Amino acid sequence: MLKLIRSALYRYMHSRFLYVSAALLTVSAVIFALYIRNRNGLSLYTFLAQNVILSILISITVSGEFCGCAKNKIICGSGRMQIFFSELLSAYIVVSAFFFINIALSAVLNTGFVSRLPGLLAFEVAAGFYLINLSLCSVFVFFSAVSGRKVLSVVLSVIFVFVSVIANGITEDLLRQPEYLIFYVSDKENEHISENGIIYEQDSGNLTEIKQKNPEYIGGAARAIILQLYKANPFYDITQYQNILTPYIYSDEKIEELSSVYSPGDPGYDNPTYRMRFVREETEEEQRFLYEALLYSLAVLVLSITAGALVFQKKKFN
Amino acid sequence: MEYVITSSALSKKYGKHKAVDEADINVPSGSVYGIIGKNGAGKTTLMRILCDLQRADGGEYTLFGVSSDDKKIKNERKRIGAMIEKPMLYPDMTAKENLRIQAEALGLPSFDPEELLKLVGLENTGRKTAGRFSFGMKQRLGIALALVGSPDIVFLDEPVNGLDPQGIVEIRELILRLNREQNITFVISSHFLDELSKIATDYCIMDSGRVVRQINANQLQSSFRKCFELTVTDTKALSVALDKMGLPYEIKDEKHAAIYEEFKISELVSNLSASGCELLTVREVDESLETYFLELTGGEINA
Repeated sequence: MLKLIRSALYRYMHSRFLYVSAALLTVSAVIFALYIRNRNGLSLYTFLAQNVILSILISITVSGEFCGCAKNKIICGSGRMQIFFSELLSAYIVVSAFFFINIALSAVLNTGFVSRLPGLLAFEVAAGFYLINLSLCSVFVFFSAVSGRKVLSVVLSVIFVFVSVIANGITEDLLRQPEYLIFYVSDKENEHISENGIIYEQDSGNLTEIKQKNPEYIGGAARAIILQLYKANPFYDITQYQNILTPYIYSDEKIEELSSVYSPGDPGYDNPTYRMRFVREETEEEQRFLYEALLYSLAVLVLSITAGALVFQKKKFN
Repeated sequence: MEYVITSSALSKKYGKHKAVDEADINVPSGSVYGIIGKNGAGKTTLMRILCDLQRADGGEYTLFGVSSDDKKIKNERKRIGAMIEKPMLYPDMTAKENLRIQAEALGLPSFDPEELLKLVGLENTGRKTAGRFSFGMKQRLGIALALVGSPDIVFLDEPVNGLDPQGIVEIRELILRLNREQNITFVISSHFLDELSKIATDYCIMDSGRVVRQINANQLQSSFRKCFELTVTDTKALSVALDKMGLPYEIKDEKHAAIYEEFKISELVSNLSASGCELLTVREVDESLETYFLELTGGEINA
């Protein structure tokens, strides 16, 4: 297996795609770092760009092997599982290298991406990000195992990244829908006022509450499934990490400024979906998220590896 | 005789179609074993099974005496090189890099690709990537890949396909040299029967998934009938003369005929002149592998 890993790494090292990707990733890592240093929070777009670049690099390299050249190795006695896992581990090595370049660049540019966080939280966030990278990499390797053509596996991987971002927004919107819509009817002007339960006092008449089932609310098993998909989406994790990290990244002045927007008692303050945390302390909810994020990333990783290995075991080489 | 590959009732089905039907083969060590057959005869499937690219539905085979059911066969596979169907290359890599990748996978980090590239005539390809190679160059690189790690058996599926006449000669000479100097056993399928007959020491003739016959070059040569092609002014008169002489023959057209036995020219000329027929030319022709193949399988060659 070590021989196959060396062979795969040789391919990465001698591929012009690696150097093009490295250049692009370094640029995006610098942007990512500067974005944080300028205290603008985490950039979801930089993360998206990095994963698009990685999806192309990994798919091109791995599918090149899975779509035919693996034949040369099978003939010489290498097992299919050995080939699959050597490709997977080599991809992990490349992704890890880029991950640590990101961290190193953050340190060099003194962004405080990790250093400003309390010890355990810093580790949890770094581990979370690392696992997201590995789970996405496993998905790209899975697509390479599934598709019979190099171009197809690249397209599938890139589409997956974009679909994940879009799906994150869609599922969030679906889950945000309240089960009941509450209307308030004024006896004076007969006006309906409803803004997701927030009442604006526009007249001086008496208001009567009318509670109606929200037709767009998804409940039962469908909700449970959507919720699991939402949580398994790597871009959900990124947005959550963004919320957790923001108070540590922003300056004291900025925190104070933002905190004054919402104060306890404000309607938006109690809504966890809307609320942005501007307090530098870890809540129970965040602790649960950090644990869940690792668990979901691990689940995506294990599922994609298992599916990829099963597909590759049965793959027909033309 | 020592056999490096043997198979017994090896079978492979695609739905109801029997791609390989209880094939028994014996590949002698150090031979150039030519597999001949029409399209769909099962040549490539047989090679794919032997190279572990496909699982057989039935039967078994041995590589260097180790059974396909034995896990130790993985070790024996390290002694194999192959180019099946088409050369599998990394298109964005140079010829040298392609060979190095295969060498790394075989655990040969100090492998020097120069010698192999020279052997297949690709030593001057420099930084040109394999994706920009001509079909013939890709074919040569595929053969070079099969030779990485100095294998004892090399499987080549249609190795001269797409090569120009000079390339065909070069590959033929390369195979013969490696076979003689390094005692590498070659298992080759080709539809260039004439070309194959120049290098093969043993033949396996396949038809509809079955091995119709295994024969070595010497046996094949001795089984060929002598044939004399004649041009005469009147084949009807020739026919009467040949019947009188008791010779086996075949009338091709009004002026051409073939006789499948040695005969006395003076006697034939004398018989023909009596009927007013003139013998214009006589040419001795050896029966070819193609004729032999057609007799065994029937129909046209479309291997």
